Amino acid sequence: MHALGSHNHAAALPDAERVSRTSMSTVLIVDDEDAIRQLIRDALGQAGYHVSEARDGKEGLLRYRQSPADLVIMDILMPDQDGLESILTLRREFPAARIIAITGGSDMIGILNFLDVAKMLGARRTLQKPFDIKHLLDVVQVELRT
Amino acid sequence: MSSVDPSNQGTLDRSFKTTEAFLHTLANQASIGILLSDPHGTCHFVNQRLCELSGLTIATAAGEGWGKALHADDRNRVLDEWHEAARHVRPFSSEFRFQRSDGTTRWVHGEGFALRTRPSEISGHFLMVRDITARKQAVEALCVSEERYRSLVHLSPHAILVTVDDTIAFANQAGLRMMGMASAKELLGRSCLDLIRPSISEHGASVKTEEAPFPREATILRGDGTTVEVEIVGAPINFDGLSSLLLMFTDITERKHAQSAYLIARKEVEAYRQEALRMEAMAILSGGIAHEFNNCLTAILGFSELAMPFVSPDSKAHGHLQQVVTASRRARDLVNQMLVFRRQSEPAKQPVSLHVLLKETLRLLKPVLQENITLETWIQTPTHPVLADPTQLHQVFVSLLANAEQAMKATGGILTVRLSDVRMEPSSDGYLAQLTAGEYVCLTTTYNNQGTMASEQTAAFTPRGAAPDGEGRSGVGLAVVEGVIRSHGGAMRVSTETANGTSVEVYWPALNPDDIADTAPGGVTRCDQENRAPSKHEDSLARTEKER
Repeated sequence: MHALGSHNHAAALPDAERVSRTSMSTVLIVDDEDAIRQLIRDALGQAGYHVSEARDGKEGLLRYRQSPADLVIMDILMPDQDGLESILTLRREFPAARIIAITGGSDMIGILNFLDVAKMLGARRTLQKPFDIKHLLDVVQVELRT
Repeated sequence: MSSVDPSNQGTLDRSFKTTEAFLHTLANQASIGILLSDPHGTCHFVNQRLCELSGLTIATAAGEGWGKALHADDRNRVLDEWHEAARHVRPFSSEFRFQRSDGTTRWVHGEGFALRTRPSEISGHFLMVRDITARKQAVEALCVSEERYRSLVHLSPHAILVTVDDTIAFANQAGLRMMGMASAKELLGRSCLDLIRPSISEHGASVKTEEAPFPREATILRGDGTTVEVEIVGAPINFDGLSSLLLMFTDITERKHAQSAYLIARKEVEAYRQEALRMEAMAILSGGIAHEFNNCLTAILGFSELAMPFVSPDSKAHGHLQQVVTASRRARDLVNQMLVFRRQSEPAKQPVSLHVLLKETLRLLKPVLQENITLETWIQTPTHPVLADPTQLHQVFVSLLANAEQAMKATGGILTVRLSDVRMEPSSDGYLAQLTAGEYVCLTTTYNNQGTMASEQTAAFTPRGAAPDGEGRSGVGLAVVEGVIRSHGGAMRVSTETANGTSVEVYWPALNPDDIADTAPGGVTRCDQENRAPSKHEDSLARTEKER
């Protein structure tokens, strides 16, 4: 387990694969899976984004309050405080917060899956795991441009 | 002829008179009727009792008068027998009826014999009449009763047998049919041990002690070789003076078959239930596995993609990484299939109160509506219950409102939600023509859609029409909504030409109140608190809520 914090891997991605980046936008990754956080951190870092991390919803909210990120990538199924509650709290405190919800789960609330509910609660985009890195980068780029 | 001493004449006269008075008193006090006749049978005395029995008086009975009191059906026979007996000096014995002047009838038994003053001299005839009306009536009643029970036994749809020492001594018509015999001759005299399994005689001892083990089930071996399943009740009776067993049979062949079918069906249901439980467990397990798998695959796929740019495309390592990516994507598809399997379930329809469900949905959606949208609701309380899957209805509500919000995104405005009972008449409208006449519940969402192009309205009917980014949603466009509504026997109509903008009407058939008990023993669900008489403040459509 490595210490969570901010990382910048702007130089890691070959030029041909780099997407056009928004100058030093900050992305907060909230996911309880170390490997997922590392993956997104590396991908976004290579693309030139400034990345911070949190292991669950509570930690993510704390980190956002300390330093609001330009974009939050929020996992849904997490211990302590799940992503849906975190999205609701975040949007209540920061109505302009931009959130991309991700999950590997398939559970439903009624007939709506988690990602439907996340969107209802204010997530701008949703991604079902596993996703292609390129798709993730495209989505992040589009959100940070709008 | 001996002479009488005149000195004793007075004594003799008094003695005769005393005897006459004694006999007269005796005759009138007797409990039997008495008739005296001359040697030819002509009546010259009847006592008081005979007058009572015949309804005659001493005067009217005299001579041949007593014969008039005889019942018309008996008169000729009795008089013939009486005179015949008198003529031949034979005893008379007969049962006959007196038809009294008050209309009542008395049965009597008469016995007559000759009165002899000397062995060779007949002075008349003496007839004694006893009242046997009560006995006759009892016998007649018994005969009627016997006839009634005989008819009951013969006409009974239940087979009835009587056995004496395990031998069949009687069978009614149903009994013959049940045993497969054309006539009583074929059946009577046969041993019931050969025809009934298990044998009745196994319990014979207990039957005789009136501890009959009935009812009991048995199999009848019919004359044509087939069998009949029966239930037997029995009781010991006296049959023609013999200690016997009365047996009554009910054909339970169909019941036994039904029981067998029920047992088989129950086993199948239990097997189905076990399978359903297994599938449910599998579904839960698959959901959990899918979650973990997806996280693993995200890392495998993602890190492989990240690594590939650092490896020469011509190298073996690049090819190996490509294989990892390909295999990961295949695994992702497999997980998706597993999730599809998990979501496969039949909608569970039940009586639902739409007004309750709609209010719940609005309560959820209100916090996330755009600030430039004003929500107005007109909700009739209560509405007719409908038969529907609540979760699917919830999806319909969310989809309709999400679609409206999307259309109003640019300009904002007023979103009106109206729910009320309506009565539909046959319609030629293309969308509503499929509805039969009757009671429906109608949900209407109306919104101004200045910012929505016609093409976007059309796109709303695509499966993902309401999801602008098309990512991660399970498909909640109006086309899906319409499919759900159709599956509930309803219909949807969209109009974009109303003065207020776009209007979407959805109709659900109201559930017949008589059907509620059949479909849900507990009544309408999800409206326990709402399905009551409307209060003063919520009794009609007049209530408008300004939500924002």
